[in-house]
Order: sequence, then structure tokens, then C-alpha cells
Amino acid sequence: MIEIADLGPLQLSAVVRDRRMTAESIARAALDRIEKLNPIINSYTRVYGEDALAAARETDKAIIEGRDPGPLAGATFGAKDLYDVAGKITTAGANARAAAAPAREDAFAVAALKRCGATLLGHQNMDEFAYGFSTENAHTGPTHNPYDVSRVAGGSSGGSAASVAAGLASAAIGSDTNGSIRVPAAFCGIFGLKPTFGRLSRRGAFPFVHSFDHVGPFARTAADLAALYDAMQGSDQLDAGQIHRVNEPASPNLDTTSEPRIAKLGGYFRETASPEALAAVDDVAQALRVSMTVELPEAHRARSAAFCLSAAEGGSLHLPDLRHHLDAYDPNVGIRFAAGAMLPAGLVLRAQRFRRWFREAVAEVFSKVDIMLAPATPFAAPPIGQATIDIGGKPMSVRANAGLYTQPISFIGLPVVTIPLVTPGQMPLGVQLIGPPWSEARLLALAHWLERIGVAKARLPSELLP
Amino acid sequence: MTPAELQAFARTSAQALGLKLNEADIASAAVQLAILLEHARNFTEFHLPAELEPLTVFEP
Repeated sequence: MIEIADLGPLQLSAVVRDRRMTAESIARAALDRIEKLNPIINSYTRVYGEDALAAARETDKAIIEGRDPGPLAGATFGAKDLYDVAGKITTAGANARAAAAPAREDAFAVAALKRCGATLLGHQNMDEFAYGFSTENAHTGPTHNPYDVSRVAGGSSGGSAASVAAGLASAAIGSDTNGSIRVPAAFCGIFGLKPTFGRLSRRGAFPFVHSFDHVGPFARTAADLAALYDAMQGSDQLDAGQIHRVNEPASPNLDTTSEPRIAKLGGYFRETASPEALAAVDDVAQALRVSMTVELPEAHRARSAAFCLSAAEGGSLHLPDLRHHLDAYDPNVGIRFAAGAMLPAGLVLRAQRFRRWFREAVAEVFSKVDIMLAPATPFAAPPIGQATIDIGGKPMSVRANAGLYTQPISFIGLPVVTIPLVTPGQMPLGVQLIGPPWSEARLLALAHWLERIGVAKARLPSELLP
Repeated sequence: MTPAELQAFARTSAQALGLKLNEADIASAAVQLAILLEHARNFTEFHLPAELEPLTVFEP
């Protein structure tokens, strides 16, 4: 018997196109599963049942009438609650926006997936204004990890990652400023893509840090991830942050055989990781017969500069609201933004100058290698509410360090695919496949290959939550 | 900076930015500033060539 919750977007599209199932029945099954499991997982903040069923019926109608329903026909997806959905309020996980005007149109990414026939199910939980790595939202509550509901799902796109892992959507779209796709993908044991900065339009996605914000998809297979990425591509003249390039579809090249030069990242990227996180990278390296190790020079400084720029840009963005509505913010978030707004301009410019230096230094490393491997997080998902985690006998702040290995990478906008490594009886871990700008297709092909040989794998939702 | 200096900096900055912070907020902001300035030390102590311009318009 087919478990609908276990099917990815490409499989769902195939059964809908072959008329073995209707898009409406798939949407209905997803809504039923959300009704049953969302009280446990808390990955959705709002579910748009009627809209979803109406959209699914349109897909079915297109098939009956012989029209192309799109490459993702019948696939279900959710959107992090910072994406505009026409007629709905974009809360960005914040009470301060609970009474904001509803969005007039869908975000570019939402519209792109809908155009491809996918059915939007609802908005998903996140850290307030995307400023966090755990999705322990003070207003909407924590999202629970489907692998162990006593643990966090990661953040800030935790609701999106947990929904996909739990089979409450076949796919989801999140955003990644300092690791907010890669961290929850790793904690929830699924695939996540943070594309090159400027690759995908961010129009209609509530900003956090303009010069770091990326949008990207989550899925349970690399092929699904590639299909979602391809659907989200396209030039958008209305997005000031997009760098306009021709579309570079990844799906047709997933089976391309090439022999990229691959290296493990050493130094900073191995210094404070748990033995399990290091073992995950070593397993991937062994499967790829990688013997080379390279270092990103001054990565710890890059992380610090990303930390300060995030606070300063985010603080500047929120300053008008902080002046009048500080009390509406989660105290942990509002005060961090306020402190960021106080950073002297000299430090901010210094961080931007260092950013140029670091980008050039890393470009030099890419003259020797094509893909780098690093842990996505220093540790697996910790229990909800736990402030510190013990690594090598030393207590480490969970909140501050979950993005230790993701921040230096997004700091210079490199594309990354996070792949899941699952060991029975243990929480999943993620490994970052990091490439030079615009190498998404190559990274997705490598992720696909690692999945085919059994190194990377997401568990089926029906195994996790029957 | 000492905790008292950080609090004074937070108070003055809040005033300059038009933020209405109470004493508990000032204390929390000072803690956050301490974390940020500790991070800032990591890249300000690093020598950069004078001709290196800020990456203000970001392209990867």
C-alpha cells in the first residue's frame, strides 16, 4: 500500500499525471496528517485547507482537460511564515506583525511552485524574524523534531524542515541567512539547498539581513530538491537582490558523471565539532575516497564578522519598530536587534572590508578544489529548552553555536547542499557540500550520487511517525 | 569595556537612536553588546590592506 506521506514531489507528480491519484486526494491526505500530527510537531502556524483543496482541484481539472498541469503537479508544499501568500498575513514568526496588512500577491518562490502545479498547504513555524537556530518561538511555541519530539527541529526554518521530515508536506521553502536552511535540514535528517547569493528571487520574503538572505527548498531526496530548485529559478526584475543569470537547471544533470576535486575542510571546521559530527563528514569523505584536507583562512573571523553584520543590518531594519513596539518582540530577539543597531559604523564597515578579503581568500582555495565537505552543525539536535551542550568536556551555548559551521559560508554567499546522514538509534546529522558560486547543479549531482550509494538518506515519514 | 561602561554606551546609543529602553533593557543590551564587541575584536585586530574596499554591494 502506498503511504502518501512518504512520496516526494516527483513521485506525487507522477501518480497524478498517470491518474493513479488525484491532486485533491493527495492534498486531503496531507491535511488529514497535519490535523493528526501538527499538535505534536507544531510545524505549521496556519493551514490553508480550503485554498489547498481548491488549488488541487484546479490541477486535476487541467489534467482532465489535457492541459499540462506542471512538473510538480499534485506535490504538496509549505512555506516558512516569512513568505508572502496572497490574502494572508506574513507574520515572520512575530506577534508584532499579527495585525499587518495581508499580502497582496504571492512571493516569487511561492508563485513559482504554484505555477508548476504544487499545492500550498500553509505557513510554517520559525524563529521570530528568523533570528535564531532552534524554532523555539516565544509566541507560537517550539517546533518538535520528528526524529525525537523532545528535541528541537533547528531553525530558523524549523517548521519547514520538520514538516518535510514528518511527511506533513512533500516539500517546503525556507530561508537561510546564517544557516537557517542548513541547520534544520541537518537536525531533521533531510536535504536542504542554500543557493548562491542572488541566484533565486527573494521578492515577497520578509527580510532579516539584506546582504545575507537566501531562499531555498527542503526535500527528502536530492532529485526532489533539484526539481524544486529548478522550479524556483527565473529572473525577477523586481528583486533588487537577484543577480540575473540564465536558468541553470539541475535536474537534467543529476546523473552527470564528473570527477570533482573534493576536500574535507579542516582547522576551524573540525575544532569544536562533536565526534559524531566529525564521523559524519569522514563517512562521506571515505565514500568519495577523499584524502585531501583544506582550510578556509581566518574562518573564525568570518563567522564573527557575519555575526556582527547580521546584528547591525537586522537592527537597522527593525529600528523603526523597535522605537515604538519593543515590547511586542520576544525579549531575546528585540534586545539583540537593539544592540545590533548600536554597533558603531566603523566596525560594520570593517566587517564589510574583511568580507571582501575573505571572499578572495576562499576563491583562491577553490582554485585547488571544486567541492568542500564540512559538518552542517557541531552537534545533533539538542533537547528543547536546553541552553548548553557538552562537547569534549566543555559546555557550549546551543543558541550561539548551532550555526558555527554555516555562518562563514553564507557570509560570502557560497552555494551549499546539506545532506542527511542517519545512523539507526541516533539523531540525524548533516554534512555540507560547499561549492564555488553558481555550482548548485554540481552539488546536487553529488548529493544524488551519495544518496544512490546509500551514504545520504532521509528516513520515510511513515517510519518516524506512523 | 567594563559592564558599567557597556551600560553607559547602551544608554547613550539608545538615546541617540530614539529607543526607549528601561534599566532592565539597558542591562540586557549591554550583555549583547559585550558579545558583539568580543566578536568584533576577531576581525578588527586582523590586518587589512588600506586599499581593500568594503563589500557594500554584495556579489558572490
